[in-house]
Amino acid sequence: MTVELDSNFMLLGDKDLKSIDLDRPSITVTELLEEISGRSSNPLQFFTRNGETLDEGWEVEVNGCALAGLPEGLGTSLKDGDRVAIRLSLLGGG
Amino acid sequence: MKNYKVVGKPVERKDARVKVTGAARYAADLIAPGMLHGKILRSPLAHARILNIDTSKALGLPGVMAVITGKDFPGIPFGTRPDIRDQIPMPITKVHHFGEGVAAVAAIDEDIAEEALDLIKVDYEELPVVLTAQDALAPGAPLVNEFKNSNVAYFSDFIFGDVEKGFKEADHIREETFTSQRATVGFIEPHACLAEFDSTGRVLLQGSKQSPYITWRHMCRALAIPLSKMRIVNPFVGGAFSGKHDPFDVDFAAVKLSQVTGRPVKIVLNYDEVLAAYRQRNAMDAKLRIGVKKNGAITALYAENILEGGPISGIGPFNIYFFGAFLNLPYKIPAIEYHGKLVYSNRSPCGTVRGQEIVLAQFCIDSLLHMVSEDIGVDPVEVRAINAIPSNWRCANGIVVDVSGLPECIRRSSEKIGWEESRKSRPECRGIGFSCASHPSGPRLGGHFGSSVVIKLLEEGQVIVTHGATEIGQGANTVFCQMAAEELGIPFEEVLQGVSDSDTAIFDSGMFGDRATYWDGNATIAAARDLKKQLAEIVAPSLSAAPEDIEFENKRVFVRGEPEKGMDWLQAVRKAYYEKGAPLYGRGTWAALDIDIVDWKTGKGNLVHGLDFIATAVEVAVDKDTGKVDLIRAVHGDDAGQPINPAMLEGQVNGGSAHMSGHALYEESLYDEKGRSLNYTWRDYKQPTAMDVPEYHVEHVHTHDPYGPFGAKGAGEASSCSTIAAIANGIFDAVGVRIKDLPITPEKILEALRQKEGK
Repeated sequence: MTVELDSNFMLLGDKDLKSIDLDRPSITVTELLEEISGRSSNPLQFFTRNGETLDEGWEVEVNGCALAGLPEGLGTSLKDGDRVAIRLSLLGGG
Repeated sequence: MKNYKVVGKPVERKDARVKVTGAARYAADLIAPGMLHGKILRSPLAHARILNIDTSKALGLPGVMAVITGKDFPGIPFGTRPDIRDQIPMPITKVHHFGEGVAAVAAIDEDIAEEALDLIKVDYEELPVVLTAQDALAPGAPLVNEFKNSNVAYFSDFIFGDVEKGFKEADHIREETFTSQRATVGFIEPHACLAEFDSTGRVLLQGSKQSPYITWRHMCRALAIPLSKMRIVNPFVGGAFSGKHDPFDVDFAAVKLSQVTGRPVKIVLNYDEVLAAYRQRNAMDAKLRIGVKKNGAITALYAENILEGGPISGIGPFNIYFFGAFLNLPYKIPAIEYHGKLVYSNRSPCGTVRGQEIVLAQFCIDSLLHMVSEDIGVDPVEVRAINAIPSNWRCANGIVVDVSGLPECIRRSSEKIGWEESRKSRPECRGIGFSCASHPSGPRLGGHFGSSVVIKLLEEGQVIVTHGATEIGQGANTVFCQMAAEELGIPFEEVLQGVSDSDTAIFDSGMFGDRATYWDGNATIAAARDLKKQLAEIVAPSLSAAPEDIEFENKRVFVRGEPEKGMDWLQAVRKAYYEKGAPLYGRGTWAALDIDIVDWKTGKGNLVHGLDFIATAVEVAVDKDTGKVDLIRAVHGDDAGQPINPAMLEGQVNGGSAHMSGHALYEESLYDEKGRSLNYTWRDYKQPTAMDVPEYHVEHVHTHDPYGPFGAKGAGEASSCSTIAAIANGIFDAVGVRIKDLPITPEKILEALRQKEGK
C-alpha cells in the first residue's frame, strides 16, 4: 500500500518524503508515525510519554480531517491512497 | 484618510510616569513573605563532561535551604520545533558553553547563596571545543549537542524562480563574502524571576519574559506538569529584543528551588552573567552573488549562509528561514537560490536580536548592491529606486506585497539627507550610505499563533484592555489603549491597561516579528466591536432604534444620522450594569488565516501581511588617522502604514537603528581559544549610548495597509535591518574602503586604508 504524505518540513530530517510504500494491507496512524520516525535521520517524538496520545508539537490530518475528529484517533486504519498531513506546531518565533 | 481622534496622536505612554519616576516594579523589585534568594553556579569550561557534583558542603552551610542540579529535573528536552527539541533545564551529562548553569542554591540571603556556590565541587572532564562554523563542520568535529548526531542543527535550501536564466540575463555579476560577529541582545534589565508554590502545588512565576506563553508551555513540558499547574504573571519588563522568549535556567531553578524548599525563591542575575552566558546574535559566514542589468535592475541572487548559534537550536531555524525567504524583499528579484545552515558550537546560546536575521541578510544585499552600482556606474540611490518593490507586487517566492511606500521612502530619505547636493561637494572624509529593508508584521506559524483581547467595561465608564502581547518597553499597552479608545469613541484616558496574568489575560503566541501591533491590534478592534454590539443591544430599545443603527462617538451613544437621539456613554454603561445587571466584556480574536503557513521546506507562499518598508540614509565622518567613525545624521523614510502613535513610532525606528549601529561599528562578544567569554562586563562590552548615535530624522510615509488595524503595519524592526549596510556604505563613500567583516572597527578601517594606499 502507498500512503501519500504532506508536510511543511523535511519529514526525514535531511530529506523529504512525499509518499511511503508499505508491504502490508493496512497501517494505523500510530504505526505510520513510528515508521516515519524510524526512517528519519533525526528520530521524531510524535507521542506523549505514555505513548498513547499525539504530542502537542504536531498537527496530523488524515484525508483533510484533523486527528481529533477521527473516531479512532491514532488508531485510525489507513488504506492505500490515503493522504496524511503532518505539520509542525511551533512554540516561538523571532 | 479618516480623521481619527486618538489613533495617530502622540498621546502619553500609559507607562511613562511610573517608569520615569522609578515607581514601576520589575521582577527584581518583587518581594514575597519568607522569600529566599537563589544563585547559580556556572561552568568555567565551554565543553566538558560532568563527572560528579558534590553539593554536601554547600548544603551544610547555615542559611542554605536547598541546592539543585540538572538531575533534579525530569530530563525532558524542549525546543521551538517538535523535531528539534535539544535543550533541558540544566545540564546533566555535560556542559556546553562557558557560564552554563550547573547548580543552583537557595539561601536566606544573597551573600550566603553566593558563599554556598564556592562550596559546590564539580568534577569535569574537559572536552575539545567547537567555536566556529568551520570547526563545527570539520570532519570528525566533536559533537556539541547530546540530542543530535550532527553539528548541523538545521538547514534550508530554497529556489525561487529560474536562477540560471537570471544570471544569464545579467550584464554584470559580482560575488562577495560577508561575515558578522557574535553580539549580545542588549536589553537593560537582566533576567530575573520570583517563583512560589501555593498549598495546592500550583506554581506562580513572575519573571521578565518577552513571550510568557512560550515560557509557560516550554516550562510545563520540561517540568512534566500540566499547564493548569503553572500561572505566569509579567511585571514590567526592561526590554527584550528577542532575548527573553525562552525559559532559562534562572526560571527553572527558581521554580525547582521553591518546590524543594516550600518557600518563594527569587533569582536576579547580574549583567556579567547575561553577557557571558545568555542569548546572543548568531555569527554569520555568508557568500552572495548578484546579477544586474546595465541600469542596475537585479536579475538573480545566489546566497549561502552559515549561522553559528551555540549549543542549542532555539529559534535558530527561524533565523535560517527568515534569511532565505525574505531575500525576496525589499527589492524586485526574479530569481533566488539560497542555502542556509545553522550549526552548533560551544559558545553562548543564540536566539536572535531585533530584526531577526533579515538584519544580516540586508547587510549583505545592500552592501553588494552598492558595490555593483559602483561597478556599473549607476547612482546607488537610483539603483535602489529601480529595484524597489511597489504596491501590489508578487515576489518570486509568492509573498504578495499589498502596499509599499518604499519608492517614496527612498525619495524622501535621499532628499532629506541631501544626497544630490553631496555628490557635488562634501567635506573630506564625509560620506552618505543608503540601505533599504522590509519587515513583515508577523508570520503565520503552525499551531500557536493567534491573538486575543478582552475589554472589560467598568461601571464608572472606563474600560480595561487585557491582551496577550507583552509590553516590553515598545509601547504595546499604549497603542492598544489608543485603538480601543478610538473604536469605542471614548477618551484615551478612560482606557486602562490590564495585568499580564495567565489566569485572567488571554495568552497569545508571543511578542516577536513586529506582530503585536498588527495581530493584537486587530484583536483589540474586534473586542471593542463586540463590546459595542452588546451595549447597543441594551440601549437600542430605549432609543427606539435597531442595535445595528447605534453609533459610538465623543463619549456618546446615539442613533446613526440622528446624533441628538442618544445618551451619554456613562448612561448607557449604567443601563447595562444597573438595569440589566450585565457587566460587559468584549472579546476579540485575530489571526491571519488567509496567508500561508510557514513552509519550512520551500520558503514559498504568501507568508505575511503588513510589510513595512524603510529607506535609511546615514551620513558618516571617518577620521583617517584613527579610523574612528562618527555617525552625523540618519534619515529614515519609513512606511509603517498608519502610525498609531507617531512619537512612539519614531522611538521604535530610531531605537532599532541606534541598536544596530553598535553591531555595525563595535559590539562583539569575544571568546578565547577555549571558548571562554572575554568581555562580559559593560566596561569591556561596548554598546552605543546617547553620545554615540547620530541626529535622527524620521520621514513618515503614510500608507494604509488593507489588513492592518486602522491601516497600521508593524514597526520597530525594519530600521534594524537597514542600518548596518547604510553605515558600511557610508564609510565606503567617505574614504573608499569596503569592510565586509562586522564590526567595522577603527583597526579594520586603518588596515584597509593602508592597503588602499599601498602601504
